[in-house]
Amino acid sequence: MYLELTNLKKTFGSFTAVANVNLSIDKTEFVSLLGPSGSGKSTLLRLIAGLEQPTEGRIIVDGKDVTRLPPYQRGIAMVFQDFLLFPHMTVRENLAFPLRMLKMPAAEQAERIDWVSRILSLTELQQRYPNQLSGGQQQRVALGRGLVSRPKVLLLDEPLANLDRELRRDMEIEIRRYQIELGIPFIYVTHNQEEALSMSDRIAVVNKGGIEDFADKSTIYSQPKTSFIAQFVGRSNMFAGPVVSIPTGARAIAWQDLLIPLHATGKLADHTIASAYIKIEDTLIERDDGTPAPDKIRGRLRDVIFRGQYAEYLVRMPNGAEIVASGIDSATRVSPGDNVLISWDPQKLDLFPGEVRQ
Amino acid sequence: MTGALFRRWLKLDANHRFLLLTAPVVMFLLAFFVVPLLSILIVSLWRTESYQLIIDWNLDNYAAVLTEPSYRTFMLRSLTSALIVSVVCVALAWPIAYFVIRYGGRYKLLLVLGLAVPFLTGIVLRVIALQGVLGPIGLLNLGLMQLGLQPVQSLMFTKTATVVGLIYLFLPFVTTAIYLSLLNFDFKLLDAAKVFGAGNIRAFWEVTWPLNWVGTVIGFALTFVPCLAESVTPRFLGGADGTLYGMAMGSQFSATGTWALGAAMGVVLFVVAGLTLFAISRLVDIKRSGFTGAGSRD
Repeated sequence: MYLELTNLKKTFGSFTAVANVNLSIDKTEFVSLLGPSGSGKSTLLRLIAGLEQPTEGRIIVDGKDVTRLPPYQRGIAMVFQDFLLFPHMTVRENLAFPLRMLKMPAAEQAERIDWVSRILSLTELQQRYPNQLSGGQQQRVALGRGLVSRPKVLLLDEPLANLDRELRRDMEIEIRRYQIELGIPFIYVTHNQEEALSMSDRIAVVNKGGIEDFADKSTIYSQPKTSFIAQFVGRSNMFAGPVVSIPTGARAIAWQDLLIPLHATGKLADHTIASAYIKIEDTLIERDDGTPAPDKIRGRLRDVIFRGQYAEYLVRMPNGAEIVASGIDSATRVSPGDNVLISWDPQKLDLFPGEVRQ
Repeated sequence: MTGALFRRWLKLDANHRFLLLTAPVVMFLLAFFVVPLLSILIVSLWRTESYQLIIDWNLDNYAAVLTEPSYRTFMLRSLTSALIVSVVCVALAWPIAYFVIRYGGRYKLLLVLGLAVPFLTGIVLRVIALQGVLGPIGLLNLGLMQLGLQPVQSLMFTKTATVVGLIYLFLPFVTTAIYLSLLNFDFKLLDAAKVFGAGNIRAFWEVTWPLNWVGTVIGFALTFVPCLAESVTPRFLGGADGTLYGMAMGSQFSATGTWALGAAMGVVLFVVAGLTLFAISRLVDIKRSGFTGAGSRD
């Protein structure tokens, strides 16, 4: 593999920021490190960049062990969250900085700067200083500075976090395009699952310094490996409680005073605690017209949150708990105050043994 | 009453409001800057005779200041020592301020305030204390002898002693200027410099130094200009051939009573200091200082 992290570990005093991380990334991959703040994903990125030294483990880039190399000898570039453009240099000088450090001949430097200015539309801005640029323009300069030296790997540390929504969506598409054009791996740190899902080939979900799962993005989304992933990726309803046998011979989770039937219980024994998740878009809602429906949950629609293309339905159970369903608004035809039925395909329920982890 | 005042205020046009609001600072500048400077200028064009000021318009005082070799020597000596003192102060203050900022942790402020503690004793005491250090049987020589080394014979009452004293006096100012500059410096920029190929030293010269250049220049000017006029330190430490311009100027107003000549020396000093500040300001390109708001967003 092009980039390999082996048993990577980083501790700060008694705090373990990164614990035994193993990752192999291919040369043409776009990989996201997705995790909540404080999960260690930024530390992981800084270890790869060489801005932090690992306590244990090895980092190999393109067949070369760079673990003990200083950042400037690794051939890795980075785009920072707060851009970190050099405020005393013009856009052009910022772009020239990595090339100057490589002692590249002036003619070649100019060629590279022209190339990167063209693909990022920076040509008009070259003589400006960073404080004369808008957030989106600064972002493009930061990206340009990362790409201009054609690094072996580009690391991106929440580069879109400071941009407004509209701009973010455009940049997502752009960033993905550059990665494909350049054919180098991009490692993208984010806590925003939409960004991770829209750009990545594979996603590594980071939690408490470790990797929960590293897999294809569709796998991460639709077949969460751990309850943490089920909670963190996508939006789900969670049912946690003891596993019980029900008269049909199958098993169910006793949640509040409802029984949530399970499709496959695996090794789960009775009375052990388990949690089950169903994505809100897999949670179906319909008007309760009074006909018996033993495998559906009855509730009252409390509110509808209109999201544009779809809507979210907040349904209150008789026991006071709430379930969220989402669907296309025009197709559902229910309004707040209606009695509704909630159901889902039991096969789509993700089941995890043990206590609920936060 | 206030209502009536406010109504009158509303009737004023922008120019009158500007005059009214800037009146305090204008009065202050007039009373404590323009009037004294003008009186010095006027006196410098008169002459003094046996402790009497005589109104007799002439340029003789300036001719004396500019042509007499001793004054020229004093001025050159003052310029040289001010330059040495400022450069050494900057060179010493940089590591002090840098390490306090980077490694001072929560004691940062305390450490920097500590630099100001000697101020509490007043300048004369501080300079006299230096006599105790640099004197023939001062702490320095006693220390050297304790180590079995030769004592330094001629340290006290030399130009070197003056320079050492001035460095000691001005170091806190320069350190504070550089400290405040570094306090506003985003050290994360060094991460960017390193990722993009700079080693530690290169990153310092490419990023840290230029972005703290203004603070450094301010510290330099804060030392250089007052050093030019300094008279207490050379008097106590400088000895017979250590007379500086400021000291010579001071004696025109006390011992010799030649106020007109002293005033002319003051005007010359003012011009030299002004030219120096102008030269220093040419070293700063505000657009490249990293100050936000230096350029307009359009």
